[in-house]
Amino acid sequence: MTAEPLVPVPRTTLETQDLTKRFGGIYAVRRVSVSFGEGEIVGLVGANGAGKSTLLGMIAGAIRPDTGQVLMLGRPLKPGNPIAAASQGIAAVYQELSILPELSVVENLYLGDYPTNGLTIAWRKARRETQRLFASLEIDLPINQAAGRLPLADKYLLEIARAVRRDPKLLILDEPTAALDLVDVERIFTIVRALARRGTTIIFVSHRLEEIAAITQRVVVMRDGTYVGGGRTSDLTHDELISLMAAENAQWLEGSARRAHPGPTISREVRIGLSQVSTDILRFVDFHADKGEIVGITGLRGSGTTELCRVLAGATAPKRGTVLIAGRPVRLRSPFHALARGIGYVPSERKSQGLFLQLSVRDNMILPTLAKEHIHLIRPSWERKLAERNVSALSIRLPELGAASQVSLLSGGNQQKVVLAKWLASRVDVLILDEPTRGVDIGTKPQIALLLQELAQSGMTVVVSSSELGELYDMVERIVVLHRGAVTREVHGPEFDEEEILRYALGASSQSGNSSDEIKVGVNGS
Amino acid sequence: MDPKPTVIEEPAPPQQIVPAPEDRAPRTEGPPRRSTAAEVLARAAKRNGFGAGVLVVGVVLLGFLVPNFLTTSNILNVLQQVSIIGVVSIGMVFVVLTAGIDLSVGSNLALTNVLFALMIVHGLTPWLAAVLAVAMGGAFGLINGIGVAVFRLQPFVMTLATLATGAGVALTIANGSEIDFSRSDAVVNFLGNGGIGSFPGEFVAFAGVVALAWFVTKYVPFGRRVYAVGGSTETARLSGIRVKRVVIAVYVIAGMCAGLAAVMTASQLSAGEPTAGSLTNLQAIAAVVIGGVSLAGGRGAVIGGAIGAFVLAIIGNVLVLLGMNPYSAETTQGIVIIVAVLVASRESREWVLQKLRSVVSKPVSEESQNV
Repeated sequence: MTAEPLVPVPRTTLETQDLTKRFGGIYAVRRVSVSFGEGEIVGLVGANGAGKSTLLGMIAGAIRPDTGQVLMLGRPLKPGNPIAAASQGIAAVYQELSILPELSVVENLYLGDYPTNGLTIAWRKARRETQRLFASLEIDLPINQAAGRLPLADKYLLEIARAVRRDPKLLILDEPTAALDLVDVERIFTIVRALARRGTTIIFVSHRLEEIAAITQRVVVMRDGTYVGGGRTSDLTHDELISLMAAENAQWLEGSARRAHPGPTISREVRIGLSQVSTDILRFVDFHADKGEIVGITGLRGSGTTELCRVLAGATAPKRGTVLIAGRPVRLRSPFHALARGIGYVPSERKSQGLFLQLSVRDNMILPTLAKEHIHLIRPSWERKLAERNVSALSIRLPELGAASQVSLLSGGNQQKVVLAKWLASRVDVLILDEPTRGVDIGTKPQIALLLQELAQSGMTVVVSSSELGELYDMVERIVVLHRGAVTREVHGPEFDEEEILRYALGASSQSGNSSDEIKVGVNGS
Repeated sequence: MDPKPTVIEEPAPPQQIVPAPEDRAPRTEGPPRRSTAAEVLARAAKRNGFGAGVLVVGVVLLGFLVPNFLTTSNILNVLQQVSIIGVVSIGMVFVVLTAGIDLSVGSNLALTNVLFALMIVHGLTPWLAAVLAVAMGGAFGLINGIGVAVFRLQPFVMTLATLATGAGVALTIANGSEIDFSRSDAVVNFLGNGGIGSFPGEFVAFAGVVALAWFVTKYVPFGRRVYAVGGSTETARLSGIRVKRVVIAVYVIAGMCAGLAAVMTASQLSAGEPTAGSLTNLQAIAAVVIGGVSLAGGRGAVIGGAIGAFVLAIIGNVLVLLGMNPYSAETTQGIVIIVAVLVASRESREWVLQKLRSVVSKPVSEESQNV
């Protein structure tokens, strides 16, 4: 799909032509052609996995496109070369801070590029220029303080100042406001507007549509790796944006693995629940999952879906509130205690949290069972049979050494099956899965979905957190939507309305009275 | 390919480095392919027996090259020399498998062997004193373990501190000089002088420790947990392993091994020597590394620690047989350690094999493209 010129843009600063990037056969970005004009503030929006980061990575030279090119002031940019991109005036600030906390503000600003007097660093000059830069950006930071001790918003300001120091022609701001409150967001906006007035093009990524409405002049919407629309911010309503971002109902499982029966509605007993649980991230979360039920959790990045999984799995202790198992309050002090109560956890970071990459498939599978069943001595025949049973039950494809193979030699999908197998082997009653299909090949995804449904039908409680809504629809009966640590909505199936879910994931509250911080899109702030 | 994919993945994190692409491909049924020489080598290099093989070849070579090396009396001599450092190395294997390190085993040995001597001098039954000494070694290790697991001190820092403290306490208690006792008791005599048949008692004890440690890593859940914790602390925790307990336990094991080594040392000398074990720390670590146990944790075998200890003992023995003066012997030993580690370490082996592979079998890489 190509973009027709939507708005008479000023002089074009940067233009992408048919940019395409695939990861493992799946399109992350597909033939995207967009342009950005001088002094323009453009909002880039899309749900998780829409391809925003990949697109920005290609523009900034961090990712090499498969096909297509990036034109900077009409000249093609060297692909996949961040240094070339930077020298052409492209700068980026990402959500993850990259400042060095032990160094001072000035040192962070110049990092490796200090002004010198021949051999030594000209500190006085560096400080003077820092102050001049800060004055021009209307920011006020203590320049000799260690950057790590600055408040969070100031750290972002420092990041932006660092990007701006070399006077970029194009500045990418990838969710710079995700962790900030309204006042601090306004400080960032002030700088952004000042830069745009000077002629810098700004690409602004945010999940908060009210911010997009307030700061941008034009919006580019992506979905499933393609450009799906956009236009002048003031012409688009909140709902129009959301329906652009939402995929049309994806027929993800093509009916084959669809819930065959809604499950024999066995006696609905609550197996695990949370009551008013708060942590550093979660705020007063109520949650429950029943015997034989599959519950979905969704939310945008940073909304607390992982944290909710971790609380259920005993990996994070709640600061306030109670965890209930079979209606009785319990303290899950660690995953060990959770396992003793029959809870297993498949974390989203498979390689660093789900697997022991250097150990064999068999060793990976056996560990929780050893604790759960109070094994004192490992009989080789028992161990071998346990591994064989689970390898065949999950049809895990193994290299030539079989279950003795190192698990790192398996493909992503098979690795994930090993993680599942280790909990199935230990016969847990509750399985918590965080992004269980991330990095899993497309052929294995339906297998995992089917497996989870079978487990639920046999009475297991399954909680699945996923940012891929399409795969949740066909699997779960109920979806809990989180926004900034709080549950904004619980949606019941079997039919799900993607727009509704996205709206709540973006922060609409289910109580219509509470709309104080909702800003109507269409009232353009700039 | 579905023209309109509905699932978009985040960019996959970089694949971790895996030795050779062709090993990753799942084998499918089909006519057995003839293995290339490089593949055979690669498979051999992956087996645990590689280190042992090198050791056997090395010993045979030395037997031809060095006069008097393959004589019964010299072999028994080596067995005696290997035992003390071997026992300490086995304890060290457990610590290193959790990605930790214990620099204090030498001081533990010094302190415990002084205490052992004192207990005997004060009339305690030697076998009971030996048991208590092992327990004291374990208590010393418990302090390390608590520092590392509970107070989250870096293993290097914690054990460096107990290295200094332990040595100081040993010297203070012994008043700076050795504490002599008589070797009349059976236990002391067995470990210091006697043995079963012509096998020295130390070696019998060492062999027993190796067997026990091997059993633990193979058949006891604790052994698996040690590997798990060393592989990934976070995965271990999320898999329901109580990581702190495992970490504390490995330092206790290292301490108990040092305690046993202390009893053996004192029995050999029939004295508690407060300066004993000053080289033990480094030798034990060297043995573990030579034995192919990764300092990054999670990789290696108990038998590797034993092999490493043998390599060190044989090097020392050969240098004496060759009549090298003790100063040059020590220098040579250091150089040989580096060579031995290079030969034994998985990474360098794989590096060499990869070079070999690229030279020997170019066409293999073609079929690995479509994994």
